[in-house]
Amino acid sequence: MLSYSLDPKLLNQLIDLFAAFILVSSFLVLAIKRLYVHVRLYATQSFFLALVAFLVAAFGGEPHIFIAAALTFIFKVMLIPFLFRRIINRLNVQQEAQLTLNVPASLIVAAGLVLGADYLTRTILETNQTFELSRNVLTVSLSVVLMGLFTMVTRKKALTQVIGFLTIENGLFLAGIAITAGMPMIVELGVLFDVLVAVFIMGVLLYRINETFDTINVEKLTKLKG
Amino acid sequence: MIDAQFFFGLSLFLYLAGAVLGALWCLRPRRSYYVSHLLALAAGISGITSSVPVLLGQSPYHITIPWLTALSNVAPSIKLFENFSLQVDALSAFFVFVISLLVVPVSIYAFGYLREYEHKQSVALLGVLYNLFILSMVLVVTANNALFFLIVWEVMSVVSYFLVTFDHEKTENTQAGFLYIVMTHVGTAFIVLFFLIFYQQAGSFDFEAFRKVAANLPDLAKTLLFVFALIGFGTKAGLVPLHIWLPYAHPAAPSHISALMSGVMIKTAVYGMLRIFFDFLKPDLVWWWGLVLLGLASLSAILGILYAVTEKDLKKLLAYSSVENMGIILIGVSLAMIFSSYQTSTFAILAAVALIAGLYHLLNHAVFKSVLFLGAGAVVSQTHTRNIEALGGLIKKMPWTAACFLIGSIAISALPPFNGFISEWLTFQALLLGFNVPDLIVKIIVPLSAALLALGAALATACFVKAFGVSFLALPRSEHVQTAQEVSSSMKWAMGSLAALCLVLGILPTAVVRLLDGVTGALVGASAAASMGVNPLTLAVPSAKIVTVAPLGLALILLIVIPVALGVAYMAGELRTRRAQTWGCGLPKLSPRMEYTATGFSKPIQLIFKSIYQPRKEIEIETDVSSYVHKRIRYELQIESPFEKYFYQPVSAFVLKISAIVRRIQTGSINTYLAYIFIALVILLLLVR
Repeated sequence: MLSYSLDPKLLNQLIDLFAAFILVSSFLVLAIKRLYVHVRLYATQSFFLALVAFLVAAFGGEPHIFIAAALTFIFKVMLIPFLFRRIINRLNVQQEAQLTLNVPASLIVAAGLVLGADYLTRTILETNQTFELSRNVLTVSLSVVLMGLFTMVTRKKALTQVIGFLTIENGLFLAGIAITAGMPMIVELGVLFDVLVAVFIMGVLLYRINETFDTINVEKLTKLKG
Repeated sequence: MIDAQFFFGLSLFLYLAGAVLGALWCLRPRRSYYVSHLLALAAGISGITSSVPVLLGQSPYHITIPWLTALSNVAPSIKLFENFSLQVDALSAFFVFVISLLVVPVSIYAFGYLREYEHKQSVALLGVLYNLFILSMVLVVTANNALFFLIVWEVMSVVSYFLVTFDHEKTENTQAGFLYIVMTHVGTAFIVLFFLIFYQQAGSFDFEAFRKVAANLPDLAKTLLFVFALIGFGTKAGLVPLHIWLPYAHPAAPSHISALMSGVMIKTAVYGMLRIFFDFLKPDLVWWWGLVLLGLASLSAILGILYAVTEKDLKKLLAYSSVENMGIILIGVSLAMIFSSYQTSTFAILAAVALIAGLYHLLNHAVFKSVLFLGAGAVVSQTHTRNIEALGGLIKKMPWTAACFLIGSIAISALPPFNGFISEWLTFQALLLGFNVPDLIVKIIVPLSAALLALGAALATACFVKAFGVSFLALPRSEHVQTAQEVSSSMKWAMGSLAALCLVLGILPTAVVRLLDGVTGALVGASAAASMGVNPLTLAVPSAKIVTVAPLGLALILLIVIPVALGVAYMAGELRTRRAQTWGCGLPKLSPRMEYTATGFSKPIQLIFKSIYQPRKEIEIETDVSSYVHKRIRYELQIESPFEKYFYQPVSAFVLKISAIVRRIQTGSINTYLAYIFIALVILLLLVR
């Protein structure tokens, strides 16, 4: 075990730093159009998430989060991005992601979302004074959730929507470990496997969509409406 | 002593067995069909055996469903099912009797009728549905718990929907089925509301609890109960203006099913009303309830027959006539409600007379409408058309069917010595008894209603003269008739026995009245049989001046007069067969196309009641050379029901319009749906924070 002598202030600052990286990677998903980069960004974001988890586990006195950190690293940094690359190669999709809202506008909205998240978490802090970790992490996690959802709304490629979905999950995970100092192990494991299964299923669905419509552009799905 | 309870259980078991065995043998459709109908036949006989003792005065019996009780012991959480029991009292027994009475001939008829459906693989399904349909009806009229009642009521509605859409290859049938299922569910919704209000007051779904709480219901609850029951059961009864499904749904079903639907299914609504108004709510009856029902019933009686007169579809004509007859039945019921609301013993006797009239007509209508539907089914099975204009001359090819149809027509036209006459006469007398009521408005409405009833009876005669005359008499109007033959003996016997029943019910009214008296006596608390049966031959109505009728004597007189008249005519030489050309106004050759048509026959009536029919006419003349030389004339006449035009169409248009607006948010694009979630999330976060 590592020493427990890290200054709690320093620990908080470190966690804040990594949370900031997570936030920035979410912004980048909105700003960059290439699918490969999206996958890489997701891997990066997950890597920082794993780091946060590691810090909380090592210095926050919650040793069981080590497992969560390790699993996050294995699944989200390695396995899922690998699966994604395979899907992209197999489907041979066009690299450019199509948007319903252009990049600058998306970024402005995303900034608004972060402000909104900040506003919301502030009120939470007011009502609940016994908060241990810094409010910033909560802000970041809420922003990441909202931005993930926003990604899903504005992107037309089914693949980017899966990325958005996974980003939401990352935001929830961050909130989970940062605020409650780790949900019960079983919940975290459950969520992780859920995500993995979701990726598999979405992968299969993507093949089907691609087969049926010759594209993974979800706009074509309107044809399914009766 | 017959163990009625045993036979009742046996009949339920046989229906169930018919459904199950029919389903098990579905790979051998013919066998399955025969087995299920045979079991239904046995169940019908056993049902008659079980109900007659109760009608004759045996005490009511109770049947609990053992496995449901066992279930509630195992799992106490399903307490609701604990009280699922059946009760056969006089009222229930009467309806079980009517159902079973029809099931017997209809099942026999079904054996021969199979030929019509033999080419279809699903005849096994028909047998299964047939059994389930009858079983659900029997359970509806015997259920002793509101929840159980609702379940079997719904089963009845759904099964009958499947029967309506049995010939689903025809679009018109599926459309009729859709209309039926929508209307019947609107009705069921109101019945559910009705029982929920009662549940709220009584704290239990048991009918027993309803009876207890009835005396001290708040006024608002009482009024709501009446309105909901009226709409809920009125829909099933085909009460104007809720009747619109009936003329579409009944003709769509296979003919023997139509006979059951018109014969008994719509009567379960009358059962519901009687159970509610006379069993539960009797101390709460208010005179205007009966008056509202009387008004609607009279309207049904007249409008039903008016639309029947102009109808060209044989089965649809019969369905419209069912609307009329339900009106007549409900006139009796509503009068009984008015009389009962005064809660005195003198009025109780009047109520008994009115209710006997209603129930008598219910029984009669069940019988003669089945004859007519079965006859129509026989015609359709031979000619494959329901259009009267395409028939004609069938009396020579199908004499037996023609005779039965004629008897049914005479009975439904309320002519002696058949049964329709007695019950309509009684209803008429009951209406005249309405003058005893102290409320002025009742005194004003009653004669109007009587006038409408009389007019309806006259129109019914015109209607069935048309139905019989155009379909069976004269020369064949189309090639449909050429290949027609007399139907198989099972169908003949089924129709014949029902026709005979029309006569029996018509000439032995005192016996029938005595049978009905037990039913009405329990409901209104007074016996009328003693005053009505002067002697075994004469039926009387107790009022200021006693009016009597002696149908058996009438029949005997007819029996003497007719041969005498025929003999006189024969001796005068009038009966010799002369073969000669019909006078053709100088035209050289008359063809079947020049025959009197159904439309032509009903034209005068249509002209008289033009304001009601609102006919839409279209005449298209194609001319050659000059405008005086007509090459072709096309004449189209359409009668639109004002209820459909001014009520149902606007309502459905409104619903569709709203749906179209709501549908706009359903774009089919995932991005939009996600955006909804997103926006909802953000707004909620901001609102709740």
